[in-house]
Amino acid sequence: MPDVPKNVAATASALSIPVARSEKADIEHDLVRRAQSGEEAAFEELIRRHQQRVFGLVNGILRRRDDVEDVVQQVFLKVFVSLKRFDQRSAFSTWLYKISVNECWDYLRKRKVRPLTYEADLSEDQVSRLDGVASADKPPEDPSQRAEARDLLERMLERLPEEDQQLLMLKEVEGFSVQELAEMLNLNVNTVKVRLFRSRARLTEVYKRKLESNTSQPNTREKRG
Amino acid sequence: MTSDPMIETSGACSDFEARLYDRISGEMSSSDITAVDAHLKNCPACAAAFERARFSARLLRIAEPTPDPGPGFAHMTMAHIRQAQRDLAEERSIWSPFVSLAWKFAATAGVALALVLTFDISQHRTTVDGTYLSPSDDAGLFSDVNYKSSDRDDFLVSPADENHGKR
Repeated sequence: MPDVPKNVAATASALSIPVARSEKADIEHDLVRRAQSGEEAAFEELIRRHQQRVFGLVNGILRRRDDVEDVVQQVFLKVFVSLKRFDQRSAFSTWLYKISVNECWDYLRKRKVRPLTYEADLSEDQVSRLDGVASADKPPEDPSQRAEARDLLERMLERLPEEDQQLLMLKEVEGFSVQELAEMLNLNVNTVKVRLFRSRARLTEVYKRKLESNTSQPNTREKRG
Repeated sequence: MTSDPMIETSGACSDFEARLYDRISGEMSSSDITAVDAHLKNCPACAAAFERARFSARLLRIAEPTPDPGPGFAHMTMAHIRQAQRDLAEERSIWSPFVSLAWKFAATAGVALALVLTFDISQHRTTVDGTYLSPSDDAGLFSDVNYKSSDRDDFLVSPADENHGKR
Protein backbone atom coordinates (compact mmCIF):
# COMPACT_ATOMS: atom_id res chain seq x y z
CA MET A 1 0.00 0.00 0.00
CA PRO A 2 1.50 3.33 -1.02
CA ASP A 3 2.33 5.85 1.65
CA VAL A 4 -0.07 8.74 1.69
CA PRO A 5 1.38 12.05 2.82
CA LYS A 6 -0.10 13.10 6.13
CA ASN A 7 -1.38 16.44 4.88
CA VAL A 8 -3.18 14.78 1.91
CA ALA A 9 -4.83 12.24 4.22
CA ALA A 10 -5.85 15.02 6.57
CA THR A 11 -7.32 17.04 3.70
CA ALA A 12 -9.24 14.00 2.45
CA SER A 13 -10.63 13.24 5.86
CA ALA A 14 -11.50 16.86 6.35
CA LEU A 15 -13.29 16.90 3.01
CA SER A 16 -15.09 13.62 3.57
CA ILE A 17 -17.34 15.08 6.28
CA PRO A 18 -18.97 17.80 4.15
CA VAL A 19 -19.22 15.38 1.20
CA ALA A 20 -20.96 12.79 3.39
CA ARG A 21 -23.26 15.47 4.80
CA SER A 22 -24.10 16.76 1.37
CA GLU A 23 -24.89 13.23 0.16
CA LYS A 24 -27.13 12.68 3.16
CA ALA A 25 -28.87 16.00 2.52
CA ASP A 26 -29.39 15.07 -1.15
CA ILE A 27 -30.95 11.73 -0.19
CA GLU A 28 -33.22 13.46 2.29
CA HIS A 29 -34.16 16.14 -0.25
CA ASP A 30 -35.11 13.40 -2.69
CA LEU A 31 -37.11 11.51 -0.04
CA VAL A 32 -39.05 14.67 0.83
CA ARG A 33 -39.77 15.38 -2.85
CA ARG A 34 -41.02 11.81 -3.37
CA ALA A 35 -43.13 11.96 -0.21
CA GLN A 36 -44.61 15.26 -1.40
CA SER A 37 -45.69 13.58 -4.61
CA GLY A 38 -47.59 11.01 -2.54
CA GLU A 39 -45.10 8.13 -2.25
CA GLU A 40 -45.88 6.62 1.14
CA ALA A 41 -42.74 4.45 1.19
CA ALA A 42 -40.61 7.62 1.01
CA PHE A 43 -42.47 9.13 3.96
CA GLU A 44 -42.07 5.92 5.95
CA GLU A 45 -38.32 6.12 5.31
CA LEU A 46 -38.31 9.72 6.57
CA ILE A 47 -40.03 8.56 9.76
CA ARG A 48 -37.47 5.79 10.18
CA ARG A 49 -34.60 8.27 9.79
CA HIS A 50 -35.96 10.81 12.28
CA GLN A 51 -38.02 8.79 14.77
CA GLN A 52 -35.30 8.47 17.40
CA ARG A 53 -34.52 12.18 17.50
CA VAL A 54 -38.19 13.15 17.57
CA PHE A 55 -38.71 10.66 20.40
CA GLY A 56 -35.76 12.22 22.24
CA LEU A 57 -37.08 15.72 21.65
CA VAL A 58 -40.63 14.93 22.80
CA ASN A 59 -39.37 12.92 25.75
CA GLY A 60 -36.96 15.73 26.69
CA ILE A 61 -39.86 18.18 26.89
CA LEU A 62 -42.64 15.97 28.29
CA ARG A 63 -40.28 13.97 30.52
CA ARG A 64 -41.07 10.26 30.45
CA ARG A 65 -44.80 10.59 30.20
CA ASP A 66 -46.77 7.65 28.87
CA ASP A 67 -48.12 9.78 26.05
CA VAL A 68 -44.76 10.36 24.34
CA GLU A 69 -45.48 7.76 21.64
CA ASP A 70 -48.93 9.24 20.91
CA VAL A 71 -47.46 12.74 20.65
CA VAL A 72 -44.71 11.53 18.27
CA GLN A 73 -47.33 9.84 16.07
CA GLN A 74 -49.35 13.05 16.06
CA VAL A 75 -46.21 14.97 15.02
CA PHE A 76 -45.68 12.71 12.02
CA LEU A 77 -49.37 12.91 11.09
CA LYS A 78 -49.14 16.73 11.07
CA VAL A 79 -45.94 16.57 9.03
CA PHE A 80 -47.63 14.23 6.53
CA VAL A 81 -50.66 16.51 6.17
CA SER A 82 -48.63 19.71 5.69
CA LEU A 83 -45.71 18.21 3.76
CA LYS A 84 -46.87 19.68 0.46
CA ARG A 85 -46.51 23.17 1.90
CA PHE A 86 -42.88 22.54 2.95
CA ASP A 87 -40.70 24.36 0.39
CA GLN A 88 -37.37 22.76 1.42
CA ARG A 89 -35.71 26.15 1.97
CA SER A 90 -34.70 24.96 5.45
CA ALA A 91 -33.59 21.47 6.37
CA PHE A 92 -36.40 18.93 6.80
CA SER A 93 -35.13 18.14 10.31
CA THR A 94 -35.38 21.81 11.38
CA TRP A 95 -38.97 21.98 10.17
CA LEU A 96 -39.79 18.63 11.80
CA TYR A 97 -38.30 19.68 15.16
CA LYS A 98 -40.27 22.93 15.17
CA ILE A 99 -43.49 21.02 14.58
CA SER A 100 -42.50 18.61 17.38
CA VAL A 101 -41.84 21.44 19.86
CA ASN A 102 -45.17 23.10 18.99
CA GLU A 103 -46.98 19.79 19.37
CA CYS A 104 -45.45 19.37 22.83
CA TRP A 105 -46.56 22.87 23.91
CA ASP A 106 -50.04 22.17 22.52
CA TYR A 107 -50.17 18.89 24.40
CA LEU A 108 -49.12 20.50 27.68
CA ARG A 109 -51.57 23.37 27.21
CA LYS A 110 -54.57 21.27 26.13
CA ARG A 111 -54.16 18.67 28.80
CA LYS A 112 -53.25 21.34 31.33
CA VAL A 113 -50.42 19.18 32.60
CA ARG A 114 -46.89 20.05 33.56
CA PRO A 115 -43.93 17.85 32.75
CA LEU A 116 -43.30 15.04 35.23
CA THR A 117 -43.09 16.30 38.80
CA TYR A 118 -42.03 14.70 42.04
CA GLU A 119 -43.78 15.93 45.11
CA ALA A 120 -41.58 14.24 47.71
CA ASP A 121 -38.11 15.56 48.55
CA LEU A 122 -34.99 13.36 48.47
CA SER A 123 -34.26 11.34 51.60
CA GLU A 124 -30.81 11.28 53.22
CA ASP A 125 -30.17 7.78 51.90
CA GLN A 126 -31.08 8.81 48.37
CA VAL A 127 -28.75 11.81 48.49
CA SER A 128 -25.93 9.55 49.75
CA ARG A 129 -26.52 7.07 46.93
CA LEU A 130 -26.55 9.84 44.35
CA ASP A 131 -23.31 11.17 45.83
CA GLY A 132 -21.80 7.71 45.42
CA VAL A 133 -22.79 7.61 41.76
CA ALA A 134 -21.55 11.15 41.06
CA SER A 135 -18.20 10.49 42.78
CA ALA A 136 -17.58 7.22 40.93
CA ASP A 137 -15.45 7.16 37.80
CA LYS A 138 -18.30 5.81 35.71
CA PRO A 139 -22.06 5.32 36.08
CA PRO A 140 -23.22 2.07 37.78
CA GLU A 141 -23.54 -0.96 35.54
CA ASP A 142 -26.30 -2.66 37.50
CA PRO A 143 -29.60 -1.79 35.72
CA SER A 144 -31.55 -1.31 38.96
CA GLN A 145 -28.86 1.03 40.37
CA ARG A 146 -28.81 2.95 37.11
CA ALA A 147 -32.59 3.26 37.16
CA GLU A 148 -32.52 4.53 40.72
CA ALA A 149 -29.75 7.02 39.91
CA ARG A 150 -31.76 8.31 36.95
CA ASP A 151 -34.79 8.72 39.18
CA LEU A 152 -32.72 10.70 41.71
CA LEU A 153 -31.31 12.90 38.96
CA GLU A 154 -34.87 13.58 37.75
CA ARG A 155 -35.70 14.79 41.24
CA MET A 156 -32.66 17.07 41.24
CA LEU A 157 -33.64 18.46 37.85
CA GLU A 158 -37.11 19.09 39.21
CA ARG A 159 -35.61 21.84 41.37
CA LEU A 160 -34.69 23.82 38.25
CA PRO A 161 -37.06 25.98 36.19
CA GLU A 162 -38.97 23.96 33.58
CA GLU A 163 -37.20 25.58 30.59
CA ASP A 164 -33.80 24.81 32.12
CA GLN A 165 -34.73 21.16 32.65
CA GLN A 166 -35.83 20.86 29.04
CA LEU A 167 -32.72 22.57 27.68
CA LEU A 168 -30.42 20.36 29.77
CA MET A 169 -32.22 17.19 28.72
CA LEU A 170 -32.24 18.12 25.05
CA LYS A 171 -28.62 19.27 24.87
CA GLU A 172 -26.71 17.22 27.42
CA VAL A 173 -28.75 14.01 27.33
CA GLU A 174 -30.50 13.74 23.97
CA GLY A 175 -27.56 15.29 22.12
CA PHE A 176 -29.18 18.15 20.20
CA SER A 177 -26.71 20.85 19.19
CA VAL A 178 -26.87 24.44 20.42
CA GLN A 179 -27.70 25.52 16.87
CA GLU A 180 -30.59 23.06 16.64
CA LEU A 181 -31.96 24.19 20.00
CA ALA A 182 -31.73 27.83 18.97
CA GLU A 183 -33.65 27.13 15.75
CA MET A 184 -36.38 25.01 17.29
CA LEU A 185 -36.94 27.33 20.26
CA ASN A 186 -36.53 30.57 18.27
CA LEU A 187 -33.67 31.73 20.49
CA ASN A 188 -30.32 33.33 19.85
CA VAL A 189 -27.39 30.86 19.92
CA ASN A 190 -25.67 32.87 22.65
CA THR A 191 -28.85 32.91 24.74
CA VAL A 192 -29.01 29.11 24.55
CA LYS A 193 -25.37 28.87 25.67
CA VAL A 194 -25.90 31.25 28.60
CA ARG A 195 -29.02 29.38 29.70
CA LEU A 196 -27.24 26.05 29.43
CA PHE A 197 -24.27 27.33 31.44
CA ARG A 198 -26.53 28.73 34.17
CA SER A 199 -28.65 25.55 34.24
CA ARG A 200 -25.61 23.37 34.69
CA ALA A 201 -24.23 25.58 37.44
CA ARG A 202 -27.64 25.59 39.16
CA LEU A 203 -27.94 21.83 38.99
CA THR A 204 -24.63 21.42 40.83
CA GLU A 205 -25.67 24.11 43.29
CA VAL A 206 -28.89 22.21 44.09
CA TYR A 207 -26.95 18.99 44.47
CA LYS A 208 -24.31 20.52 46.77
CA ARG A 209 -26.97 22.12 48.95
CA LYS A 210 -28.70 18.76 49.31
CA LEU A 211 -25.41 17.18 50.28
CA GLU A 212 -24.65 19.91 52.80
CA SER A 213 -28.08 19.70 54.42
CA ASN A 214 -27.66 15.93 54.48
CA THR A 215 -24.32 16.05 56.27
CA SER A 216 -25.45 18.76 58.70
CA GLN A 217 -28.55 16.81 59.84
CA PRO A 218 -26.72 14.08 61.87
CA ASN A 219 -24.85 16.79 63.84
CA THR A 220 -28.14 18.44 64.69
CA ARG A 221 -29.46 15.12 65.93
CA GLU A 222 -26.34 14.62 68.08
CA LYS A 223 -26.82 18.03 69.63
CA ARG A 224 -30.48 17.26 70.30
CA GLY A 225 -29.57 13.87 71.79
CA MET B 1 -42.17 24.57 39.73
CA THR B 2 -39.90 24.22 42.69
CA SER B 3 -36.94 26.30 41.52
CA ASP B 4 -34.81 27.76 44.27
CA PRO B 5 -34.84 31.58 44.19
CA MET B 6 -31.42 31.62 45.90
CA ILE B 7 -29.69 30.26 42.80
CA GLU B 8 -31.28 32.20 39.94
CA THR B 9 -27.93 33.29 38.46
CA SER B 10 -24.69 31.43 37.91
CA GLY B 11 -22.65 34.15 39.65
CA ALA B 12 -20.28 34.47 36.69
CA CYS B 13 -19.69 37.65 34.65
CA SER B 14 -22.77 37.78 32.41
CA ASP B 15 -20.81 38.68 29.27
CA PHE B 16 -18.56 35.65 29.82
CA GLU B 17 -21.15 32.92 30.40
CA ALA B 18 -21.56 31.90 26.75
CA ARG B 19 -17.78 31.60 26.35
CA LEU B 20 -17.52 29.61 29.57
CA TYR B 21 -20.11 27.22 28.15
CA ASP B 22 -18.04 26.86 24.98
CA ARG B 23 -14.99 26.17 27.16
CA ILE B 24 -16.81 23.35 28.99
CA SER B 25 -18.22 21.78 25.86
CA GLY B 26 -14.82 21.93 24.14
CA GLU B 27 -16.09 23.99 21.21
CA MET B 28 -13.38 26.64 21.32
CA SER B 29 -10.23 27.61 19.43
CA SER B 30 -6.89 27.44 21.29
CA SER B 31 -6.53 31.24 21.32
CA ASP B 32 -9.97 31.64 22.86
CA ILE B 33 -9.14 28.96 25.44
CA THR B 34 -6.08 30.97 26.49
CA ALA B 35 -8.16 34.13 26.86
CA VAL B 36 -10.90 32.40 28.87
CA ASP B 37 -8.41 30.61 31.13
CA ALA B 38 -6.69 33.93 31.83
CA HIS B 39 -10.04 35.41 32.85
CA LEU B 40 -10.80 32.40 35.07
CA LYS B 41 -7.50 32.90 36.92
CA ASN B 42 -8.38 36.51 37.74
CA CYS B 43 -12.11 36.15 38.41
CA PRO B 44 -13.05 33.94 41.40
CA ALA B 45 -16.80 34.29 40.69
CA CYS B 46 -16.41 32.99 37.14
CA ALA B 47 -14.02 30.26 38.31
CA ALA B 48 -16.54 29.04 40.91
CA ALA B 49 -19.45 29.08 38.44
CA PHE B 50 -17.27 27.33 35.86
CA GLU B 51 -16.43 24.55 38.32
CA ARG B 52 -20.08 24.11 39.25
CA ALA B 53 -21.13 23.92 35.61
CA ARG B 54 -18.33 21.46 34.85
CA PHE B 55 -19.23 19.22 37.79
CA SER B 56 -22.80 18.87 36.52
CA ALA B 57 -21.47 16.57 33.80
CA ARG B 58 -20.94 13.94 36.52
CA LEU B 59 -24.64 14.13 37.36
CA LEU B 60 -25.95 14.42 33.82
CA ARG B 61 -24.04 11.36 32.61
CA ILE B 62 -26.45 9.28 34.72
CA ALA B 63 -29.29 10.16 32.37
CA GLU B 64 -29.56 8.17 29.19
CA PRO B 65 -30.86 9.30 25.82
CA THR B 66 -34.26 8.03 24.75
CA PRO B 67 -33.88 4.68 23.03
CA ASP B 68 -34.91 4.16 19.41
CA PRO B 69 -38.54 3.02 19.32
CA GLY B 70 -37.55 0.26 16.88
CA PRO B 71 -38.16 -0.54 13.22
CA GLY B 72 -41.85 -1.30 13.77
CA PHE B 73 -42.61 2.26 14.83
CA ALA B 74 -42.43 3.77 11.33
CA HIS B 75 -44.74 1.06 10.01
CA MET B 76 -47.16 1.56 12.89
CA THR B 77 -47.14 5.34 12.38
CA MET B 78 -47.89 4.94 8.68
CA ALA B 79 -50.86 2.73 9.58
CA HIS B 80 -52.01 5.41 12.04
CA ILE B 81 -51.69 8.09 9.34
CA ARG B 82 -53.64 5.99 6.81
CA GLN B 83 -56.40 5.40 9.37
CA ALA B 84 -56.56 9.11 10.21
CA GLN B 85 -56.80 9.98 6.50
CA ARG B 86 -59.57 7.41 6.00
CA ASP B 87 -61.50 8.71 9.00
CA LEU B 88 -61.20 12.26 7.71
CA ALA B 89 -62.36 11.30 4.21
CA GLU B 90 -65.28 9.31 5.62
CA GLU B 91 -66.31 12.16 7.84
CA ARG B 92 -66.24 14.53 4.90
CA SER B 93 -68.22 12.23 2.58
CA ILE B 94 -70.99 11.57 5.12
CA TRP B 95 -71.57 15.04 6.45
CA SER B 96 -70.70 17.42 3.63
CA PRO B 97 -74.06 16.99 1.67
CA PHE B 98 -76.04 17.41 4.89
CA VAL B 99 -74.12 20.50 5.87
CA SER B 100 -74.65 22.06 2.42
CA LEU B 101 -78.37 21.16 2.48
CA ALA B 102 -78.74 22.60 5.97
CA TRP B 103 -77.20 25.91 4.86
CA LYS B 104 -79.55 26.12 1.84
CA PHE B 105 -82.54 25.33 4.04
CA ALA B 106 -81.50 27.95 6.57
CA ALA B 107 -81.07 30.59 3.84
CA THR B 108 -84.50 29.80 2.30
CA ALA B 109 -86.17 29.82 5.70
CA GLY B 110 -84.55 33.17 6.48
CA VAL B 111 -85.84 34.77 3.24
CA ALA B 112 -89.32 33.31 3.77
CA LEU B 113 -89.45 34.62 7.33
CA ALA B 114 -88.37 38.08 6.16
CA LEU B 115 -91.14 38.12 3.51
CA VAL B 116 -93.83 36.99 5.97
CA LEU B 117 -92.79 39.63 8.49
CA THR B 118 -92.73 42.37 5.84
CA PHE B 119 -96.21 41.35 4.57
CA ASP B 120 -97.58 41.17 8.11
CA ILE B 121 -96.31 44.62 8.98
CA SER B 122 -97.64 46.14 5.79
CA GLN B 123 -101.08 44.51 6.39
CA HIS B 124 -101.51 45.39 10.03
CA ARG B 125 -99.56 48.61 10.43
CA THR B 126 -100.89 50.62 7.46
CA THR B 127 -101.85 54.23 8.07
CA VAL B 128 -104.59 56.27 6.46
CA ASP B 129 -103.70 59.71 7.65
CA GLY B 130 -100.31 59.15 9.23
CA THR B 131 -101.53 57.51 12.47
CA TYR B 132 -100.88 53.86 13.11
CA LEU B 133 -103.87 51.59 13.42
CA SER B 134 -104.32 48.49 15.45
CA PRO B 135 -105.74 45.34 13.77
CA SER B 136 -109.11 46.01 15.46
CA ASP B 137 -109.32 49.30 13.56
CA ASP B 138 -109.23 47.54 10.15
CA ALA B 139 -113.01 47.90 9.71
CA GLY B 140 -112.58 51.65 9.53
CA LEU B 141 -110.79 51.38 6.23
CA PHE B 142 -113.90 50.03 4.50
CA SER B 143 -116.53 51.91 6.51
CA ASP B 144 -118.27 53.38 3.47
CA VAL B 145 -120.01 50.29 2.05
CA ASN B 146 -121.95 52.32 -0.52
CA TYR B 147 -118.84 53.74 -2.11
CA LYS B 148 -118.75 53.10 -5.88
CA SER B 149 -115.63 53.11 -7.97
CA SER B 150 -115.20 56.25 -9.93
CA ASP B 151 -112.91 54.92 -12.67
CA ARG B 152 -111.21 51.71 -13.86
CA ASP B 153 -108.15 52.01 -11.63
CA ASP B 154 -110.21 52.74 -8.57
CA PHE B 155 -112.38 49.73 -9.36
CA LEU B 156 -109.32 47.43 -9.58
CA VAL B 157 -108.08 48.36 -6.11
CA SER B 158 -111.54 48.18 -4.51
CA PRO B 159 -112.80 44.92 -2.92
CA ALA B 160 -114.40 42.60 -5.51
CA ASP B 161 -117.54 42.07 -3.48
CA GLU B 162 -118.13 44.49 -0.65
CA ASN B 163 -121.47 42.96 0.33
CA HIS B 164 -120.24 39.36 0.50
CA GLY B 165 -122.92 38.19 -1.95
CA LYS B 166 -125.82 40.05 -0.26
CA ARG B 167 -127.67 42.78 -2.05
